[in-house]
Amino acid sequence: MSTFSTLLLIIFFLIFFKRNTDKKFWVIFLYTVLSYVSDRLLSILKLDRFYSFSVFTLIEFTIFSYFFYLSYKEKSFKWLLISCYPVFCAVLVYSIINKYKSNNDFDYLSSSFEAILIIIFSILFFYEQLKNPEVTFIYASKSFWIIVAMLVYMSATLFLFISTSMLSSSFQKTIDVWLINNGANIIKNIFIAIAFYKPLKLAIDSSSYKLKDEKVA
Amino acid sequence: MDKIWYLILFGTIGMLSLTLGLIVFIIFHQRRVIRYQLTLQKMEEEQQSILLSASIRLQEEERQRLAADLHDDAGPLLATARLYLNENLVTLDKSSQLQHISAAKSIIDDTIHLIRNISHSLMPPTLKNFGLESAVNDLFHKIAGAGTINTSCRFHDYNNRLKMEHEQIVFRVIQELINNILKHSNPSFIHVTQNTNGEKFFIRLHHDGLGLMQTDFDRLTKSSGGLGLKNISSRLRVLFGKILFEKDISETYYKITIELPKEEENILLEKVKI
Repeated sequence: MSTFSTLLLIIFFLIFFKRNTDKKFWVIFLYTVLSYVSDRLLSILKLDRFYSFSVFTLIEFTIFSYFFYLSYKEKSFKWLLISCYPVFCAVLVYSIINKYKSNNDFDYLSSSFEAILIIIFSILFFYEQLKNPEVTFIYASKSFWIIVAMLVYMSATLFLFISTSMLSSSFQKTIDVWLINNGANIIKNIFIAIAFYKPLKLAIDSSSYKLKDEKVA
Repeated sequence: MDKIWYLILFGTIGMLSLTLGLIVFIIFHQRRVIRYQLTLQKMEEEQQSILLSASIRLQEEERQRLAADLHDDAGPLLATARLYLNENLVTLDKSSQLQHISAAKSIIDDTIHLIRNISHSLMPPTLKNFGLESAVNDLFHKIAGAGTINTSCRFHDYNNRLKMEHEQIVFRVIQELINNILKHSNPSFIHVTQNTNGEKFFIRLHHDGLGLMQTDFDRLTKSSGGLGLKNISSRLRVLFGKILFEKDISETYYKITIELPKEEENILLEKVKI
């Protein structure tokens, strides 16, 4: 179901292709394609789950960071983003090196760290929007929905990722704790679909307080 | 293991609630900020509209005054001159002819004088030919002629004149301020100084009459009255200037400060000199 929702998202992007010509949305489209491909590969090929998850986490964080980089206007936030990237890579390498210490086949350390960083980046994005409000409602922007998707997904799975360190592999297999991850993934895909569907930014007609269409990039 | 499962479940629900709370807060806060900005924008537009209508009204009044001057003063004078120079003039004897021509000449001289006065009130020649300082001095000279008010004008740093149209605007503002002071304040002195500081150009008026404070000025420019003040405000807006009404620290006299950004050409000229 979760993988299917990703496939639907790819189709959705292709249907509304003309509304998503901006570089930012191509980045998110690339993410959905990679997400779908990695899900399929993991189920078809018998790859090592730990390493597969690690590689996917790295790609996911890279793509999300790039999206934030394109969305931020303040240079200080961009610098923070750039400086967080090597830290994340270091955590990922540390996690791979210390793989033998745990029985877990899920890379919980880098995934949890990624979730925390993405939540921080999302909050910074909202802070930036509140600090310099444009005369448009925030939910009229496509970027808002994508960031909401990331924020909801990361905050829904953060607790799960952290807790996997306490769960044995057998328990993870017997009880479907990944149900939460799949549910969050579907919600994330719905929000991204809203972003792909959104036509153009809506601007407010100050004289009448009504909304009217205006081409804003 | 059940405990861990519940822990994960409730932890996730807690995190999601926090996130949703944050998103809802951001949406509502942003909506409130936008509404506030739109209200401010609307108020600004209303203010602009008041200033514009004041400016139109003032122009209309000026036209009416000009029309009245021409119709009531110049018109009868020219009509009288025409009476003297009618077709019967040729039938008159030579001495009567000379008398009529002389009377007509005198009336035409009066008309020329009147038209010159009207023209000068519209555009002072001193301002055009000699600049703002001379025009203000000229204005003060006329006021001082009455002998009841002491006036002085000193421009400390006015080597590079403002553009002609800017000088006109500043002069009209000073004229309006002085006019208001004379009409409402009953001062014993009016003093005008000019100076510059960095990229700013200042003109300051001091007087010891009954003056306005900034709050009064703001209130009057927003009310339906205060046509002259609205006009000052709209004129200064054209030059991206500001005006500040305040009392001196000694509380004995009032200060009106006009602040204007220096013209780019003058800034360049000053840099070349340095």
